[in-house]
Amino acid sequence: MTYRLSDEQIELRRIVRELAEEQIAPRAAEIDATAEFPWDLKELLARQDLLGTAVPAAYGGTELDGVGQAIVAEEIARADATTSLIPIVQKLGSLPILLAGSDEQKDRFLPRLASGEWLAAFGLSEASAGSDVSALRTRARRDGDDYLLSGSKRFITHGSIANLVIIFALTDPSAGGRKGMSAFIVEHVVFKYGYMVNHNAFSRGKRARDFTAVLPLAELPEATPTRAALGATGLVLVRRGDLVYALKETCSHAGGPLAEGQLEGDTIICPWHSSAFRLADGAVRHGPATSREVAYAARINGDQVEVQGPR
Amino acid sequence: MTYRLSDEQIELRRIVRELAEEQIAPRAAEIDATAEFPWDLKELLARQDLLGTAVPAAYGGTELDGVGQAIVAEEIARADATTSLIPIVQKLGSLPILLAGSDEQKDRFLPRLASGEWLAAFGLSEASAGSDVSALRTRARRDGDDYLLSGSKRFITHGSIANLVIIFALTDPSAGGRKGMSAFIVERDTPGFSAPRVEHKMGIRGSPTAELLLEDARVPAANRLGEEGEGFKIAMATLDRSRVAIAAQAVGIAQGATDYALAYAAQREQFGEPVAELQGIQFMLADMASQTEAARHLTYAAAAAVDAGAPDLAYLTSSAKLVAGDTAMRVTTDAVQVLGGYGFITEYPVERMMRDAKITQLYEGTQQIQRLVIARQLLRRAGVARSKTS
Repeated sequence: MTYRLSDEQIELRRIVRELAEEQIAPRAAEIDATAEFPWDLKELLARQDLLGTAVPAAYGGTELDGVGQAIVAEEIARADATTSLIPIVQKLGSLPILLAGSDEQKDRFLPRLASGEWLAAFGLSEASAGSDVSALRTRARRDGDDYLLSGSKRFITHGSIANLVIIFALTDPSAGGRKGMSAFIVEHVVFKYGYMVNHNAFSRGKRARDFTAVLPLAELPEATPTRAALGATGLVLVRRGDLVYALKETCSHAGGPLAEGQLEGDTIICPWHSSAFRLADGAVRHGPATSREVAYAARINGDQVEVQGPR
Repeated sequence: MTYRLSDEQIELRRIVRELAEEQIAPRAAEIDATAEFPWDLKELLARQDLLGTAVPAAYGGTELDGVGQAIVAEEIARADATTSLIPIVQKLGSLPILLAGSDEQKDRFLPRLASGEWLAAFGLSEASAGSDVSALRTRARRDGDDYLLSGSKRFITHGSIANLVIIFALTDPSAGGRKGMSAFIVERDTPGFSAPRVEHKMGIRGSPTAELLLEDARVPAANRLGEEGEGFKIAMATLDRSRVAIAAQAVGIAQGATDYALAYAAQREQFGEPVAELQGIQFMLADMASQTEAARHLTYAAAAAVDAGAPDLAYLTSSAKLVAGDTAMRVTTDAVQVLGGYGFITEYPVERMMRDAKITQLYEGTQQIQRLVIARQLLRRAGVARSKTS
């Protein structure tokens, strides 16, 4: 066994390091401060044929070996971790097609991913299915020649900018996550709330636009246990006495409220910031709000809850 | 020795915790996001008599013992590290006056600091004099009944908002930093004194960290603390005592992260049960809780040693800051881990706590400087000559 880099790998490292030092490192602080995706660097990496390193030459890729691909990610990350995710996530979203795609699917998608014309993402995680992948609840129902997918995904890197997302969904819920799950190539996914984008913008001191959202507040009978409340889907707010609960989706599964707040006068007081967010979550899903990240005040008004952005 | 909190200390903890949970915790995320100093919470703490805890009653303070002061810092930091710096830095800026001030200086300044009417800051660090304090270059030249101070200070917590800053400057450069340094009370409206810049930081973002500029700032000789040449001694005596508060802050941050992670683990379900039922999570929570407890008790012991004027108090205060700071960093990092991906986003408070924790390993002496202080005490006890470190 020869344990050393080949001359080609050494040359690859030199080239990528030089590129990263000269054109990526100087952008790193600004990318961090503005929390904006570096489209210019995506174009740069595409031009340099660094987004198709995992794709066979037959589909327009550069077909580097595994060590070569690692060198590319490593040298870019040395300058800027955000930018290194561009080739890393491109590979993550291409791998399901490489591993399980039909020839037709490979022909259709891989060239556009290898060239960097399209970005790919990998849609597995859900709010309640993180480490426990098999707990995922997104459904796919056959409908003639199509499937109808319903559910939600969370923490999907590049999910808001990818041209295709590999979505994992249950085709046979009775078989459970491990055996009843299928994978789909979903094109042009539009993520309504741009979750991570808005989140990052807020964390850097930018303010999303002010908003007020209103959603209905259901009265919960005194005797009803909160976990069994309402057969509603989506997130609902319910009130019992002077407590307000945010309940998620199918409550029978949830095992309790996502959040609760104390009602004082017409104001919901949440013990923690995140509880306020969860209450606000409902407003975003049901109302005109564009970012749940800016909502932190919720107020009872008659039989409705008003959720307000900052000032 | 009675090794338990007194009834008064327990009651103090209850009161401050309630105040912090109800009025400070709900503001923490916004303070972090906007990086604005929480003036409303400064007023709240002043009204609650929590800014003069280190000041004797004769000067309007509440004169808490060291453990009581640590409890105040800890309980506020459990809710928000930025806000905990309000009493902590007030004490840091008051200590030089308490330790070396004349009666006249104490009469003049302490009541306003104890009431919270004025804020204090501690101006020691410079761009080129961080861990190497004695390398400082700010000069103070005698001019009649005044001194003219010139130079710049950096990383001065609350430097831009304080009504007075204790400025350390060389009165005798030929004697070097250790023997040629003096300490001055510099009031905000002093001509030639300004705060041109505030840093952008990773944590404690609502607490302004300022660069201070002294351009022949005219300071009355009546504002000099102690004699000329006593500045280094005053600075070290202050830091030997003040760093207990940083240890307490670190304990509070760690406790806040532990409490949040525990509550989260109890309600987050994966694999059909709350993740708190998983042993992998339980072990993390157990480490977080026990390490925080250990840091807390070392911090209280150090606070008690300061009260007692123990000759080796620096040994204990440095040990407490070293252990508590590292604990805060480890525990908050683990708290993010317990929350998984949710821990990484600003919707939950633990990523803020992790960013806030880092500073406790850096300010009022880096962890490496604490080790130097501890080692010097060890060597002194063992009778080892200190040829290089003295």
